[in-house]
Amino acid sequence: MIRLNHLYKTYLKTWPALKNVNLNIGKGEFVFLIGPSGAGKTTFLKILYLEEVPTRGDFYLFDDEVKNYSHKKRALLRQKMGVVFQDFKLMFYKTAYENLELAANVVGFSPKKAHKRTLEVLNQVRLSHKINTPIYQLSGGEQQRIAIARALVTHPDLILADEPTGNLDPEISNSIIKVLEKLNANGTTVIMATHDYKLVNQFSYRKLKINKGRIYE
Amino acid sequence: MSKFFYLLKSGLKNLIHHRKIGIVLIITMVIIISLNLFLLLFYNNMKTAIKNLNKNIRIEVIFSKEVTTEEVNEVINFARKNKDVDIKEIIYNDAKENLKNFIESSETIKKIYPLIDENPLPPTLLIKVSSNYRTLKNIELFVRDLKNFKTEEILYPRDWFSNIFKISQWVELGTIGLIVIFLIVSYILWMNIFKVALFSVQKEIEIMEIVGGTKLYIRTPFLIETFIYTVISFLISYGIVNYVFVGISKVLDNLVFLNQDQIIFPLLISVLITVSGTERAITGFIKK
Repeated sequence: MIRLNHLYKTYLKTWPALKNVNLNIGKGEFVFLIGPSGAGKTTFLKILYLEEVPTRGDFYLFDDEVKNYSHKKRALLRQKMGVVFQDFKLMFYKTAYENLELAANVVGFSPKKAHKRTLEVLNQVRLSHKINTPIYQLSGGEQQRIAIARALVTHPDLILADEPTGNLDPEISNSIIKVLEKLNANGTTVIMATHDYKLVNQFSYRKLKINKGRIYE
Repeated sequence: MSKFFYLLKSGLKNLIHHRKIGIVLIITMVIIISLNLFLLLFYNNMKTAIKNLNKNIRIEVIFSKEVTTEEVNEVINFARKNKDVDIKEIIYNDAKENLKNFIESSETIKKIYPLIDENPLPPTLLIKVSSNYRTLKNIELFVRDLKNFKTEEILYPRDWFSNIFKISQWVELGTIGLIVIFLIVSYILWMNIFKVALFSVQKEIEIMEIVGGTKLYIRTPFLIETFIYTVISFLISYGIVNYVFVGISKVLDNLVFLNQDQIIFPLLISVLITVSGTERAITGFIKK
């Protein structure tokens, strides 16, 4: 599903964020990306969800080389992904429902299907009661769960999560991991970046360590 | 289809979310559209006035007193056969008729008329022609040819008409020039105001991109929003121009309002300008 060969990402021509990354991630894998802050986790995920372009190297996503893809092609690829951001990236003056509805509409769900699916995922993240609450009225943890729900709403083939449990208490963190595990069991590839070694050690999934831009098993 | 309705709904919701900047956008457009409509109104009335003047160019041929009927007929036939000048009417008045008209023109003349021994007035020919700037030269040539006949004098306000035509040409050019300037200014103004407006929704655009929105998908709600702002602005401007027109019509007669084309085309051009301005403004916020 994802293949990276000799991939480099350098900012401002001199500052290397990723160095010679060689990696294969197959369909249906659950992968933890572990590393300290500033190690390059976010840059790695940005490349995967096509926000950043590698400086050098080959990058295959869904078995297609995405180099020189047009905006439209990148948009269509993004529709197959669900991304959870560290800073949530939610529309603050819109309600939880509206945030999820947008993602469902982009991929072409009918209003009925979008409504049904939105209720389902809100239930999964235990926020059904906040359906009509504007994002700015939600706590940090609740906002994070809405961000996760948005990533799930479209039944994506690939989920990229950047510190999805960062602001959550252990109980909610575990429930979020369970949701991701369930999705993974149904064939969805999950890549989760975190610096929480304690959490990662509870699971036996594949672990990729990242440090100073280098990734190793 | 459900995508379009969703985007339409988003566009309408944006009107509420962006209402503060929306008011600024509407005021700007109302000023620009009203100015353009006023210019068109001025242009219309100026053109109508000149058209009316042009329809009534009068060439007065004064014959010598000894002129014979044959000689007068020669002039009339020459005028009728002439193809370079659009002749509307030819009125011949003999000396007697001219005297009668002269006497009836004022009470004082009526009183002093018996003191005159003999009719001092010559026969005259009034030729009414229609012209425009291009055919004015033909009238001059026509008048020059008339002088070859047995005429005493030919009265024709050549310079006056020439000046009127020149003025009308400048007015036409000036109006078109001003409209073009206003259109360019409105495009630049709209694009920049909308760019400022988009700063507040930059994150919204980013999120739409992240969830897989194509460029068209991202733009559509903003273009719908722009379309509605423009139609509102146009309706307000039309209302203002109409109100002013009704007011002026009470003071000045025979004023002409804008015709259908002069309403539809400015509306279409306004929409085109604002929509393309918005499109350009959004492009700056979408990643390549």
